[in-house]
Amino acid sequence: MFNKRESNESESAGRSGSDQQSATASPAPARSTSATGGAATIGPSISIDGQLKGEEDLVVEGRIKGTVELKNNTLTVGTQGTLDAEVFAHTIFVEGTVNGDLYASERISIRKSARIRGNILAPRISLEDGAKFRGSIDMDADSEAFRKAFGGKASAASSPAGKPASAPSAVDSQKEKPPQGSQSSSGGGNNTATQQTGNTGSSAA
Amino acid sequence: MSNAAASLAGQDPGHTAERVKVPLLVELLSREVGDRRRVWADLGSAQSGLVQRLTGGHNRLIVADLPGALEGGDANWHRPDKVLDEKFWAEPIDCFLCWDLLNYMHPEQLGDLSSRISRRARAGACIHALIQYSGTSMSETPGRYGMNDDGQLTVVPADAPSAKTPRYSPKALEKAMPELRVERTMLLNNGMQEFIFGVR
Repeated sequence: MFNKRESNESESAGRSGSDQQSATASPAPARSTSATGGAATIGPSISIDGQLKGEEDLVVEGRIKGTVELKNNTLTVGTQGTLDAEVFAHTIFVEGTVNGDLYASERISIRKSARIRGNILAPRISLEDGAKFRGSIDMDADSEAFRKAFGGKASAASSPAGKPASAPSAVDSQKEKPPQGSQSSSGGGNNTATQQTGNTGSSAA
Repeated sequence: MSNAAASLAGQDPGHTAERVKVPLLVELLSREVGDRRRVWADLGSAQSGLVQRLTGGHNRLIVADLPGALEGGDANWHRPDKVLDEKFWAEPIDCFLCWDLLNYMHPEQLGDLSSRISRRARAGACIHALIQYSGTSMSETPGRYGMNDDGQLTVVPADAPSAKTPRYSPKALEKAMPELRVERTMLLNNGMQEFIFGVR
């Protein structure tokens, strides 16, 4: 299982003693830890086989096989990270390799370095060109799969029409950043067009 | 340069990206279906423009990445339900997006694909494809495609033209894919013809 001591060793350079948290004992969700740079990190040499649960943001640069539950927090699969797992989180960033299903109640962001095979379920999804993906992307927050994963509608899909309260936009995609500690891509080439439904109405040559 | 053009050209700067209007595809993507859930099967590679276009609606997008399977030497590259496990295909499909992949299949492969499509399709499903119709050559392997926010498609040919075209007329396609029928076509300004097929 998750070795907090090993994790702390690998992340110690980037954290003060006061913001360290237990991976399982924190009574209140700590969704904003990424903003303070307090995400826990599973380093490249660490391999976990089993169920991982927590109430803080997590960056994975190692390997995880099993289940990951961070329902109120952000999971970042770093460029060196490999997941053979089913993942439930508030927000998921993928820069590494995932074989398995990803469920996010808010958003999933797939970077161009990502390699994913599996189902992806989230009301808001962005994908950079160049990412290797094979599987399915379910954006329907009213779907049965969402209800099973989160026991109700996803957080970003509470409008009457079942659409996200705020549709993703180019601005959104530029603002979103993985938690500190991640080996983030440079952000270049992020191609997420503003959603539009207009018909060009033009005829071809 | 538009978003998709910049992104695709950036991945492969040696190749020239071109933009083309694809009215039939835009019409498909913009079709009003109310709150009904729609399932799309993209037989091509994952692309940001299509994901953005479908985000926010009741959509599910299956990405089979047949070009990736072809590149990897998979003998079943033309069989979406072999490239991607059975569990992904349990829900009937409303629309299949083939891009230029049909140009690269032999008649037997087209027949095999059409029967698989007809088995997986929901009643009233449609199939979109881009077929070479003019010019004498095309890339030896499938190109890359990206939807732009203005509805135009960015096309990046895979390599220098070396395969002869055209390979298939509308009649030849219908003959090779007996389960499908041509519903609409439109000539595009890049030498391709846009097709919408229905399931018989």
